[in-house]
Amino acid sequence: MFSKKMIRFQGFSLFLCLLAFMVGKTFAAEYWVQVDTADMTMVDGKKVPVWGFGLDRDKNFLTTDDYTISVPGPTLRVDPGDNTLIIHLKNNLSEPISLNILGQRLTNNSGPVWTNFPSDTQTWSGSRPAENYTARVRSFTHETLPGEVGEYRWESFRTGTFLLQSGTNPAKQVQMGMYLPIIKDAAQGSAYADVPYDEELIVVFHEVDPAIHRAIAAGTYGAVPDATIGSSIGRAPKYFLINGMSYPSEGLLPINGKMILLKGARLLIRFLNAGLDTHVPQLSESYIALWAEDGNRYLYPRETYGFELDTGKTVDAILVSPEGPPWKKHLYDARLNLNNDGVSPGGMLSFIKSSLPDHR
Amino acid sequence: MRRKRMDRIKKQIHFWVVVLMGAGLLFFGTSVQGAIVGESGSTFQLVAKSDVIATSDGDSTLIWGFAITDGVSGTTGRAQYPGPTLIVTEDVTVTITLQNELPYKAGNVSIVFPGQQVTATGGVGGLLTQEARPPEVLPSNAGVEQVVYTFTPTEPGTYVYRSGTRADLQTEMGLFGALIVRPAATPTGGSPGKTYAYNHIDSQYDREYLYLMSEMDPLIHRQVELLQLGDVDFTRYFPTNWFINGRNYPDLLAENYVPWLPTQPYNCQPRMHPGEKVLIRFIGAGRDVHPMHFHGNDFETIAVDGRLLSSEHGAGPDLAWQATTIKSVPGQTADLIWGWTGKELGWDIYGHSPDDPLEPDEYAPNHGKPFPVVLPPRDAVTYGAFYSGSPFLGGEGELPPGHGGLNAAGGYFYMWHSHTEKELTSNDIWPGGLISFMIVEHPDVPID
Repeated sequence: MFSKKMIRFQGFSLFLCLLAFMVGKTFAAEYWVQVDTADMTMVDGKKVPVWGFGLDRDKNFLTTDDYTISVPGPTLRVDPGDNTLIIHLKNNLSEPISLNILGQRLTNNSGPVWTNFPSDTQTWSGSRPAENYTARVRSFTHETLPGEVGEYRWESFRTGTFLLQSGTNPAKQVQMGMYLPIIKDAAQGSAYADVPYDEELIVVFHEVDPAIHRAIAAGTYGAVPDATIGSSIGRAPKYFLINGMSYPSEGLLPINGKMILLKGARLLIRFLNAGLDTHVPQLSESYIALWAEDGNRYLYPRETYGFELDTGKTVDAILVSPEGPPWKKHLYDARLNLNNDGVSPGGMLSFIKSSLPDHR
Repeated sequence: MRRKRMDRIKKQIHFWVVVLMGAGLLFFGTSVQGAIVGESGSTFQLVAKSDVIATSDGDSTLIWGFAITDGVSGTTGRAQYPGPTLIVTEDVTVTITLQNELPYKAGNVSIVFPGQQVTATGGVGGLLTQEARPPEVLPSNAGVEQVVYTFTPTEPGTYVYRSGTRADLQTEMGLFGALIVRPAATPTGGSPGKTYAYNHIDSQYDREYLYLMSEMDPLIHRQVELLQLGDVDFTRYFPTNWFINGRNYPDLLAENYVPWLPTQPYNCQPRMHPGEKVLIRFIGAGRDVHPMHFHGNDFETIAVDGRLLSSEHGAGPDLAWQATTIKSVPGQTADLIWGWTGKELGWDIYGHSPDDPLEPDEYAPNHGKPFPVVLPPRDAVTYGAFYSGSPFLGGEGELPPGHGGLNAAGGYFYMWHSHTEKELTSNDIWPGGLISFMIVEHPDVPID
């Protein structure tokens, strides 16, 4: 049953569609995204400060508190027919931010943004400032300053699985949690040409070094006076996460929720590495077919039970359900990052399940 | 004068080969190997135990390893690092029985076989599979707990097995090994006298060698030795010892099963004759990647994770790729085919004159081409330990006192090593770690 609100919303959507037709524009995916600080609770109960993305629910940035920050951020999708992605970005942090999708060309990019390192009191956009050989790039793309709203447009968005990250001081802002998956299918139910799927699973690998997070949150990280941690050179992650969770978080057991995979059903697994370490996703009980890397479809799939997933990389794989439900297959990091702050078992360990349907 | 010297060398070759053949057998660095050694069969009884290995920095380190139980006498050997190389046959059901004799504090133990459809029975359910408990937690009259893993390998190839219980610590301690599945029959179009890695003629090889990569943080092994298992923290992991087939350089040059390395039975000493195809079964058993660099020629990666790199089933390794360096990826296997003829040298490796007959598999276009360099006088340069004194294959020449001497049969040594050069040490002592050598031998030098 639909609520009145939903009907009204659907009517409004229809109106928008018609409007779009009338003005003769192609469709665009449009998102309103907030960036803010949050506390993330690790599986052992310890809290770690993070910076992350959250979708603004009323799509206008007018009301506060109508967004939830998560790490990784919410999955954004661009419909198969859409060529354009627009992200309105609200910066609630106390330093500039920007957006960068690895493998996609930002159309309205006036960056990079240069600063007079380390004081950061002056900025330039575009080319290196003339005769200035000490300026450094702070942001890959144009910045959104604290408290402000920025707009980022990708007008020829490619098909595939991609990682959106902060483009500003990425060594710091990305590891604080500013990343999310962004996806465009070739067609409804088809990731790429001739790569159809029945169900989808998104798997983001990432790690947390709480000491660096705390220093960043306290403003004592990097080239600042009284820095407690000068850089990430000594980074030593203590938490090894899949989709913001680590074993034995319920959300990893199984990682794909209640999914009924009949014999022959095709499960598309989109693997992303948003961390800074290399991971090796491995299914010890099953082969999968690797179909694409960084949004590029392979000419031929590769049959394997695991693969190397480097930082910033995405890999799309198809797992064909070998039999009807129920079954269970373990998915973990074959680099054996299987602890939570040194306590074993933990970390990057989960399973994929095909569940029996509920009895009615 | 150069020609004269060459002739003299050639005459010496055959004499020296015969003499050195015998000496070579005794010699450190010239072991006899053509096929990977291990435990062949379909039924295996493994016991997880503690023991100690020797590392080339002179240390001895506590390990947990799998010991094999002799099928005839029923006696169990010592734990070994890595675990036994299990050599099985495609489509023949494999049964592996596991018992736990680790110290009580080590907890349960289990094995996962990536890529195989395993049925596990007995013991208790664990995170990834059934586990065997240590005797101390069992009722006194329960006897020994046994877990049985059964699977039927449907495809030949190279595989790995690793612990599935507290896998970070148990893998670090040594509970892993290689699994080799040999084809059930000669592939279509193949010849019965030849060997094949997969069910396709393009996987033919003449010799095979195992490269099973692992690493160790000795501090963790100390903590385990002191039973401070609660203090083991893998977020502080910092390996300083690296292994191929469980030994580091130079120990890996010694023969298989030497008595002074009782818990490290496997060596890594590839040798070949020019023109042969060498299959390298390459396995990442640890947790780090190691970029192994195979000097001397490109290899072809024909398979990954026990599957030929094929555009479609039955097409053979038509998607094989060539390179000189490949990373060992944790939990992953790859099959590489490497060959060497001396083709790119542009001179005759045998020092032939154009009228001489060809050696077996000699690269004919180079036949009789002169050596392009005037060799410096004997005492003008320093020679490496593996230089025979002659630039020609199987040759011997004069060396100054104290030089050379480690190349018994005048072979060509190609260093096969990690390009993460700090891994060429054993606990900060160079040379050690991930150094090995392929020796290309004169056709008259017997290898098998």
